[in-house]
Amino acid sequence: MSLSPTSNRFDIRKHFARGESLVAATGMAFIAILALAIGAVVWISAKTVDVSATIQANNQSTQTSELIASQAELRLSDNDLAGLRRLMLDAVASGLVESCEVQIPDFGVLASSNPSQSSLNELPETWIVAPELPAVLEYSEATGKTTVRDSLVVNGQSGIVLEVVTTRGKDAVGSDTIRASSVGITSVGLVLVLLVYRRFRNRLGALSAIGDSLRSAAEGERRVACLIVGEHLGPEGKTWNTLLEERENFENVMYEHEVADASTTGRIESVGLPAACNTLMQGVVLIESDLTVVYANGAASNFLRMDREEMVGQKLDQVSEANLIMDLTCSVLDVQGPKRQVIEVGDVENIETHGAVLRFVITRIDEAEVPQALVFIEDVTQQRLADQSQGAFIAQATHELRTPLTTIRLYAEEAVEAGSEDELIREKALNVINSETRRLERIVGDMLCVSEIEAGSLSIHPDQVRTEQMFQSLEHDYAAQAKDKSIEMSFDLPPKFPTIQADRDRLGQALHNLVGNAIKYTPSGGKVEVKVSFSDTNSMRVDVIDSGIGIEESQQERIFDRFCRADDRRIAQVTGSGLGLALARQIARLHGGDVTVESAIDKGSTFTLILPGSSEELAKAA
Amino acid sequence: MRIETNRHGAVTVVVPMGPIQTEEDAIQLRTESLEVLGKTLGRFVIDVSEMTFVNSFGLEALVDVTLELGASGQSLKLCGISDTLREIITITDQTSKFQQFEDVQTAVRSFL
Repeated sequence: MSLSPTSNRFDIRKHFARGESLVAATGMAFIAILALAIGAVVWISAKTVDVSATIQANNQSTQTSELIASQAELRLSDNDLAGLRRLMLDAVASGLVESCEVQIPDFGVLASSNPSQSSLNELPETWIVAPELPAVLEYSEATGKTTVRDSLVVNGQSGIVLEVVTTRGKDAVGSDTIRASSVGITSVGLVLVLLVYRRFRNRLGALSAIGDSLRSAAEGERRVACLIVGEHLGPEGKTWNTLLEERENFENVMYEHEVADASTTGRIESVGLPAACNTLMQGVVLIESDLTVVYANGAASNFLRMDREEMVGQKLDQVSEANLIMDLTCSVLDVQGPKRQVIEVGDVENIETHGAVLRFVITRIDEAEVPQALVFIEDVTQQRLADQSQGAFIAQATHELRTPLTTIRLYAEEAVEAGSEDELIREKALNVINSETRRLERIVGDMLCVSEIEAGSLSIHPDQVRTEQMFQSLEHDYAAQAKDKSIEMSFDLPPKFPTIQADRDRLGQALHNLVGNAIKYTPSGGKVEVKVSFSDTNSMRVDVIDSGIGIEESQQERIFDRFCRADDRRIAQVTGSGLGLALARQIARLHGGDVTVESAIDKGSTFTLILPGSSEELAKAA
Repeated sequence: MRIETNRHGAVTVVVPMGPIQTEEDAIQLRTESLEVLGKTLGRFVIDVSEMTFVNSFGLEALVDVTLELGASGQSLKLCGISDTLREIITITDQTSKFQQFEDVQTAVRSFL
């Protein structure tokens, strides 16, 4: 492979765009540090030169001052003020000093390099003698001048002051140049440090984010949305994101290829089909002609209580539960046998032990080279229970309807036969027909009510209900029935009946069911008592107390289920639809109240209906 | 926390009687639900009408149960969901993981 001319050329930008830029950035960092170090060294050198120049200048100023002082003392001793003034002028003219003057404090200037400054023409006879002090040197940064003050001793008397001012030489100026250079070098170093920092920050930020992303991937995260990094992290971040997207696209393409391969070859091991089968609530099992399980979905594993991995590859008789369909599967796999077989395994009567009723549909697949059997498994427990309940209900309802209808037919025939000759028989027959018709009406009402509950459309229509009238009617309705069974029925009613808010018909229906049940399940000679009480807020409590057969504790909540009657052989001969208590409770709950039971076997039961008194609660319930 | 189980035909109704506020409550709910799942082959409902609040542990327990059911093509049926619980499920984006029913009867009927 030949390289193009451009590929041979060293491209600094490309070089920097890869890992080499880190090396370059590191080199820049070293240069920056070196520049800073040089700057620091130069700064220190400048400082040292500066200090030495100052010391040298000070020494020079001191020596000059001492020289002038000795000459000045000689001239003053000779009282030669003119010579002293010439000395001042000569000193300035020589360039050694900037200015100089001799003065007596509190008297005036004897001589000065500036002649106009001199105020005394001759040395006074006496002057204030001050103690002789060593020479004092002062340097002013602002002016760059050094001032030396020295005491002169004339004729043994001190108190005359010599002040010499000198300027710093060119060395000091040189140190400033060096200092400026060091500042320049340091600035360049700092700029380089800044550049290196920016470079490192961008690159390390991107590397850190990519590192985090890789750690997430190592922990199992595969979603691209969770692995991408911010676009602001530069080319590294963008490239990482592009790689992730390309990987996802690649996986999608691979998946599509696999699905396409699976659909063209028809392999059951394809990716899409098992996933689809696993979403089915029905179990699917594929069985080879030698009765080996080659595929089972999740639901099949659940129904057959065996792991899929364990099931696949096993013979059918090794699969728990599935051995029940062994014979049928064999017959289906026989090309001479039936192509489809259906069997239900399990018993609704024994759900606790069997767990479920499973429906197996076994179908032969003739299209394969050797016959295979496909087994569909469905949990039909609830359907079978519903069928059973429905059957029981129809049987009970038919029986319930037939009894009053038969009575009506017999008494109607008797009334017809009696004609107008026997008024007594006819009247009795009509009374019975009337009573049975009302019973029939209640049964049909219950059935309609149940269908409304099933449809979820049962509702109440509250109205003002005069409770006194309602309980009088209830007592009247059941008096004859209680008397027929020799049951002592009593109503314990309050002295005053309030008017309550309720659905008159529904409440009457609930009370009829409770009182009717009490009479139905109380043997002859027993007692039924209905106690009614109202609270201050007009909430109503009705206790229906019987001395009947009682209900086992385990059955006490179950009897409120629809179509349910207690499992008790003592009531086998007592007809009932299993709806009365369910309806009574449903009606009470629609009013915002409830029906509860307390019972003891062979001692009797107390059913309590409570309705709230406040219209707000009723409105909320309605 | 007390958890009641009732039978409605062939369907078992699990009723947690109170809010789930601790990890222990959540573990209890998950354990008992998975136990019922194993016994009933998934024919069960959780009545959450008494469960006024559920913390993250409780929500995780419910999600665990529905994932377990998901292995056999089913999903967890919840009924009697309060506004608070519905909001928690919605905010945490778990709505699609559960089947929601107004009351126990409707949930039980869904097995027909």
